[in-house]
Amino acid sequence: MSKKLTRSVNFLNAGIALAGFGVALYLFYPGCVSPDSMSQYEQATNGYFKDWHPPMMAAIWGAIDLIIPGPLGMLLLHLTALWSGLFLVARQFAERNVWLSIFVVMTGMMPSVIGMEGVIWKDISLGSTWTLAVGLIMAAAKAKHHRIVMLSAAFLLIFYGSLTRHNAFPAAVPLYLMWSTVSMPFIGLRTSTTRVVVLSLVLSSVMYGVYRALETNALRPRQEHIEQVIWLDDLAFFSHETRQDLVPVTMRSKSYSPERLAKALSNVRAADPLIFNQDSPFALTRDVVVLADLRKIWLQEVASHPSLWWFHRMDRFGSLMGIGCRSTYLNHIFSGWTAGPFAWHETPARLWMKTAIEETGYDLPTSKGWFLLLVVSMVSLFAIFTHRIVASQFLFHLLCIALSGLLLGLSYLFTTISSDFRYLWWMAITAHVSMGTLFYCVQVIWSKNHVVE
Amino acid sequence: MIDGHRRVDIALGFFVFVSYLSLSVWRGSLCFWDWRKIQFDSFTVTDADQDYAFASKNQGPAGEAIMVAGHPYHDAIATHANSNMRIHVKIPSKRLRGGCAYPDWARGASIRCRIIAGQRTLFESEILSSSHPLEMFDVDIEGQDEVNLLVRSARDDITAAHAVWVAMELRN
Repeated sequence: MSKKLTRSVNFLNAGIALAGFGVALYLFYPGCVSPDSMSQYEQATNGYFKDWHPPMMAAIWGAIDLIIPGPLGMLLLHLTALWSGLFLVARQFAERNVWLSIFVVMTGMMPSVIGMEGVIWKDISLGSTWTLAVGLIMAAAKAKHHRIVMLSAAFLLIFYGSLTRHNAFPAAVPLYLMWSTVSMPFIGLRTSTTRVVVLSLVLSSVMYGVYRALETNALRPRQEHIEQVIWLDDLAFFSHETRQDLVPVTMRSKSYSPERLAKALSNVRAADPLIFNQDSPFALTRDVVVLADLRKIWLQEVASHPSLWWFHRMDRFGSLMGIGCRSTYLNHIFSGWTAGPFAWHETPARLWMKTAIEETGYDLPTSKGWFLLLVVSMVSLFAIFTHRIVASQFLFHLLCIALSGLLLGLSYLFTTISSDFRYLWWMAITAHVSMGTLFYCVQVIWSKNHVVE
Repeated sequence: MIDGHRRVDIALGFFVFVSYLSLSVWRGSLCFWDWRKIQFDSFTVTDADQDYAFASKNQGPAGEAIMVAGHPYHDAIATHANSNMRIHVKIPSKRLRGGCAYPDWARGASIRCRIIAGQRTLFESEILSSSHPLEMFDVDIEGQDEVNLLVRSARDDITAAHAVWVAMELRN
């Protein structure tokens, strides 16, 4: 492809990215704030962290809030990271296929992505910073200058993203892998598959250690023991199925009853009716003795009924992926957040855009968790099996992106208690890029252009 | 000889470093996660949990000046019931002195303040409302490096149940 055409496509992609940034900024200005975001904002502004939500995100929000008060600073950070990251990824496609590069930059316009990109959530922080990280790594692989700046920024962004969710570390491994392939030659190390894999695993482990040390010694959040909600959810199911009262008495609220458990369990958005509603049957605790007791009962029950546990986990995971139930998709994104200091203000134009996003999104397969999972799984497998045919660093990077989305998605098998679509935001981005990857692989194989770049 | 691209990298790094340093000087800490924490010379608030608004230093939740019975205070923490605040004593000390009150900017509620160290209640105020002056305390905290400051609404609801801890100092 001629350099002139590539340059024109890059200009076009930059225009699309700027337009996408503008549309999202207009739609969400000054940043959509849910009750979860409000809790994080409270921690950001008073500097006292709790580990239910990522303390590092609250700390960064607190610092940004000094310069741009309110959610606007975080909104600008997320949108800038997302759209610049998408542009950088699309730029790598532009040299190979014009249409695919446009398709990739349009990821941010996909209803399941744009519908949430202005909400100040940890999931959005994770997705947007990792998008920029992969964009920077791909750009650094080709760049002649500023590689150290790009790679340092990418490393910090991967690290930050992995701090934003309790289950994000497995999904960071492919990104460290991607980073290692570009960084090793840059610092004069010879690359081989084994070396790159070992380095990325070491990096992931070391950075996890850094994160733990940072949290224990510097951020010092109040421990909320979020894992108890998974144990309680599982025990509620065991209690319901085995007709026993397995939940410790100290963790039962006044509303606790077998009927209440059954009612809550039947709701796909289990987290709210089971844990957070005023009439929740459970009383969450920070008492380590009670929690140790809860964990012991949970472990005993899982060991006694492994098939029942697996069935329940699969059921929760299936709900999140929209299998066997109606997807929770976007219907809760803006509703109910019209009060408070950062309420979403409805104008005719914004309402039209919101409705258009929601209505389009409902019918698209890219708004279904199972479809996103299928795409990232297919691309991961396809790229692994065809790596000898389509051997290139570019394809390897795309494989890492798909793997990251896949690992984050799969981690919910063990951690989710509700079918909240926002959990899949990073997977939605990776799946859309992966669709581009799939087309690219087909194009390369079809044209018998078995290149080694 | 440094080429142009490397100069851009260095300039960018320098800009980030200087900006961070300036903010650190302004906020009194090199660690950005401490920039929003309430700190005084002899103690730091290490945890602040309250049912409404956020704890803040030397101003009310909406930026109000801290006044009690018409007297201004410039070394105070504003909070709101029901609040649990943990303070870390930086230098081992024998006594904690200060006062608590219902601030002038609030109306119509009443609160009660309490100081706890370990399992011991060191101080419990009267029920305070806008008609009460500052209630002073001088409590023994020897051997304690953490003290809990509690504020509870004296009514069923927490509406307007603001409170202030003022002029707190450690003494030997």
